[in-house]
Amino acid sequence: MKQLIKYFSLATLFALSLFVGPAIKAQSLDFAQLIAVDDIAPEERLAKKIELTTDALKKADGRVVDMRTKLEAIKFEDKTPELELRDKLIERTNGYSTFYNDKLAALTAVKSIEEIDLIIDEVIAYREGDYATGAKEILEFTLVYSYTPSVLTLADQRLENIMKDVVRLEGLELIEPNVFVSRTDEAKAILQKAHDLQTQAVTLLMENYTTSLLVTPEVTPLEITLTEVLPVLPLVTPRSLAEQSLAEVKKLYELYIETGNKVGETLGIN
Amino acid sequence: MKEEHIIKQLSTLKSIQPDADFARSARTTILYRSEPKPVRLFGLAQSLSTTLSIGLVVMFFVFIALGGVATMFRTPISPTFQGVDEASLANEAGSINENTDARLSEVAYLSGEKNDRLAMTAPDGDGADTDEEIDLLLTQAKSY
Repeated sequence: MKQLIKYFSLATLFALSLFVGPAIKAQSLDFAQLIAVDDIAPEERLAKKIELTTDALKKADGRVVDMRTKLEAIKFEDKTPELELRDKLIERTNGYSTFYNDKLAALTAVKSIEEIDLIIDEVIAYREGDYATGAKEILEFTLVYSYTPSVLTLADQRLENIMKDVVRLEGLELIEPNVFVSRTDEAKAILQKAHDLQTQAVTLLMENYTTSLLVTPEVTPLEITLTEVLPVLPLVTPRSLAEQSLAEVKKLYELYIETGNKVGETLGIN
Repeated sequence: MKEEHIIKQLSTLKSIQPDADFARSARTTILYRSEPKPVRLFGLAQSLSTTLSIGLVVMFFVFIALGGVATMFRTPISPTFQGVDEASLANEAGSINENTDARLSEVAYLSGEKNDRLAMTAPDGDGADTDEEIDLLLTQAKSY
């Protein structure tokens, strides 16, 4: 009995060490880092701060370049509101790049920790304010006009290929005719719903853009959010519609995989 | 005496003749028999080639019979049914799920939403870092 208690205690201690160990380790690491930071010379701290900020600014600019590239890759017909909006968003990315590059240039003249901290604060404030609001719109635009359509095209092609395969297998008399009709019909319905949601997302995005053009330019975006748009803010947004459309595509692929499995079972290869 | 007896016996053997029918049939056989062909290397190769071809054809039918559709499905030599192919489907679905989550995560992050469910990774093909990573770097720079 004593042996059993001994083993049980050891097992409990082992289990506890698994859960508590990493936390203690992390805390001790933080503590070690604090001691290390306190120990290092101000020049060294400054150099490290500049290094980290430079890295962050370069990556932030890289991110903006990536956004711009994606926007430029979306093609619209000339003189359409869509093209107009896209160009405005591209212009916005140019503004972000200018900001980040200006700050990168400012870093070269930094002489003290106070100065670098000031720059970091400015960058953080900019990213939390103007950048977050504007970049979110860019990402939504890309999501609605580029990513979701590409996924829908892929899903369309897949359904087409599945239906071709089913017809071929029926022709070879390897599967009974019309066995998969209900599945392909269901897939068609889901895909149609995904397309409809995408169409709604596009329409709403452009409606919102047209509405935003009517807003007086003196009002800042933050004030618009708080005073005017918030009370009439629709629950449905282009992003939420695109998200729903993509959720339908995910559901659709589950059905595709089930259909593939079923075909395999019918042919005896699963 | 003995020798004379033997010679006499042998002379009687001279008179032995085949049956007329047998003689005719034997003559016919000899006259119309084809010349035996000499065994040459070419002949041997041809024979082997024919045997091999027949063997391969038999093997092929055995392969089809034993493997059937299942084997045809799994072998790359035959046109497979890519539309319903499980591996291809799973791969495509996985890629869509991952990229969709990453993209939605990016928008959610900038909207100030908590998105613990999603990994802090850039969508497939994006070389750029995520905003979350950039903000983390800035926080580190500030607190260093």
